[in-house]
Amino acid sequence: MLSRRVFLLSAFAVSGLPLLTSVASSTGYSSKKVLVLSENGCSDSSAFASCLPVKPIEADPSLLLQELDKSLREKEYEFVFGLSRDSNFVLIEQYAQQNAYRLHYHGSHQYQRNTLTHSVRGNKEILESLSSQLSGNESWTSVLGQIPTLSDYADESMLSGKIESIRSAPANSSGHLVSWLFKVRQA
Amino acid sequence: MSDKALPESLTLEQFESAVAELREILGQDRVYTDDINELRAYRDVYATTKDELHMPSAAIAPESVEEIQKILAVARKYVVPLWTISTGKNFAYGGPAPRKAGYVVLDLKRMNRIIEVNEKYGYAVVEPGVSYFDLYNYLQAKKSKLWIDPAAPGWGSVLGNLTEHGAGYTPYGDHFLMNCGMQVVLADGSVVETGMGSASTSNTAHLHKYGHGPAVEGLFTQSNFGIVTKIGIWLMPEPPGYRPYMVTFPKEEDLYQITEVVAPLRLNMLIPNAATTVGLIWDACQRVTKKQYYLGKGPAPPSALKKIAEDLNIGMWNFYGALYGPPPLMDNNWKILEEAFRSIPGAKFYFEGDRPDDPAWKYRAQLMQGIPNMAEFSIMNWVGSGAHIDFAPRSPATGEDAMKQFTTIRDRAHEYGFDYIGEFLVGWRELLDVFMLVFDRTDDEERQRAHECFGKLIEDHAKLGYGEYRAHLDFMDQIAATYSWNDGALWKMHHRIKDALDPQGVLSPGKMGIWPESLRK
Repeated sequence: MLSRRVFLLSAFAVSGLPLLTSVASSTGYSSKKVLVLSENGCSDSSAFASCLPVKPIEADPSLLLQELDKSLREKEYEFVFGLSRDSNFVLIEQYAQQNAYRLHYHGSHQYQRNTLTHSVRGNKEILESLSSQLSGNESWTSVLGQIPTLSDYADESMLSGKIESIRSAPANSSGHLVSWLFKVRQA
Repeated sequence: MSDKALPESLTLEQFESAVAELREILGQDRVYTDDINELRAYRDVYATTKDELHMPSAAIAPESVEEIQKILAVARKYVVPLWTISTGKNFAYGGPAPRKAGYVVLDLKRMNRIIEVNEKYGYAVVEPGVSYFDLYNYLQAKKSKLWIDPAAPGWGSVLGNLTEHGAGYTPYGDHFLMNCGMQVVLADGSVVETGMGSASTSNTAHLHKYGHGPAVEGLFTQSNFGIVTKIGIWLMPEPPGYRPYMVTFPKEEDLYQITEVVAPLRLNMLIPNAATTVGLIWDACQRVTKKQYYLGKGPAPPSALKKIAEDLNIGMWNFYGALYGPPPLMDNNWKILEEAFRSIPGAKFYFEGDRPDDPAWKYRAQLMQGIPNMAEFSIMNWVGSGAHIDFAPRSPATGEDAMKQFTTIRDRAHEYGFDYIGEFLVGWRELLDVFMLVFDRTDDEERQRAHECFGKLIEDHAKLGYGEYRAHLDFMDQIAATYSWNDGALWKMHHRIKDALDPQGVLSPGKMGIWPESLRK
């Protein structure tokens, strides 16, 4: 298993470069290719995007989806990870599923009055990590950044959990975002 | 394997034998049977019912007519129900999911050739897997001067949308009207070219629609009488000028006058495209969500809607149209249109450049110009994890009918706790109301409520004399039953055709409420 720091340093490329790079074979991954997508235009997703090199999802995701379809068909990425509005998750899921990618983590992040509720599904390690960190004061969007490092091909389980924190929605928040991780299916 | 959905008439052993034969035809990688890793791509993500009700037993992806013919031989041998999809993007009506659990999805997405684009005569010939994006990108790459007419979501199949009687927003918006020539594979494996294409030396297959004898293309739209493997579709030549416009109206009751004003302009083709009167929430969803204005249960109250209208500078109704043609013609037409719309108090006019930060304007202007996009999915964010099924009744294009439809749907939606999210389109002579019943797809109770609400809407409209032109899988039978004139003579005829062309009933059983004899009991 990669540490979060090693993963973030090595797996994600810097902005403007292809989002792929090699990780030492001793980690168990001969190469880790990750695409990170983030909704444009709201402060939570902007905070998420500031932690990771992301491709933005525009108000009209047409071009992104066409590029995504092509790259997923060619299995260009092992992981597709993101924070988006739910409508875009549904669209991305369609392309992921038809190109043999499987959902390994899903989180729903909803503001209701002064409470932010995270309803998450993922493997044991993801759930434990998010449970310990999301209820604190740390930026929740930056906590999400570690999820690909906690994903393991050997662990296909999808456990559920709910984490609440006292937090008001930022001024331009839609009130609801979802985070998700797709992994290419091993042959 | 024990929980696996199977075709009703097959044992597991028979099913596995059929799958083995399909694998011999298509190879391992184009026959999908893994429920979790492969077949989840064929579920209805916007279902109001449980996934299991529409879970296929397998999916297969042929690449040619010859492979379809071989598949049909297997289907007839084992009586395997095949559910045909083009790209499976008919969301809100069932998407790629089959009518019943256990069917085998015949997925034609890999038949994706653009066979011909004729620049001189303005048409294209395409296979089922060609999406609006594919055709648009192809034309752009060729620097073609032809437009496509996309449905609102650009990922859909050109052929699939046409055969489902779909519509777009340019003057070529009635897609089936623009069909010219069709290739169909019948259940017995024979291949038919319709119209002029059936003449052995034809050079007008995609220029003249009818040929000699009955025009039969309609039999293969919204039906299960054959598998459409190729269509000709007329494409609009790029006009010398294009000017989109938007007119906003402040009051719900303005819908009456808008429809009265628009109908004659549309009939006389001064408005040449699908004139669309869009409700406030539909437009607002491009920029805001319900939570930002209302945290209570049930539909957003009038005070919230008023605030949204003020904040976003939109109306309770927002009319989108476009002028096409040489500038002097557009100038003259606009004088007539402007005068007509100004007769409605409170009308405000917007043109290109007036709403630079309004994504609703942007995607509407693109659609009316034949540019495909995916912006409309934002509507699903109105309620967070939103999904929708669409209710689409037709009525005469009068103000009275528009208001009757609107208030009937709105009141029923509110009774069930949903918002009215709708738009009205004036065709040449008729009015189409598209009501998006948006619900939270993660809430089982809300899904069930949406399902019940939809059924009530069908009942309501049948009483009012309005028929629906399209239906979600779960409501095909209910809507078919409302076409009941003369003791259901039309559906009786459909069933006779079905029995004649597909006696074993292997093609999409139950599509639009047309069932083979063995399943009509």
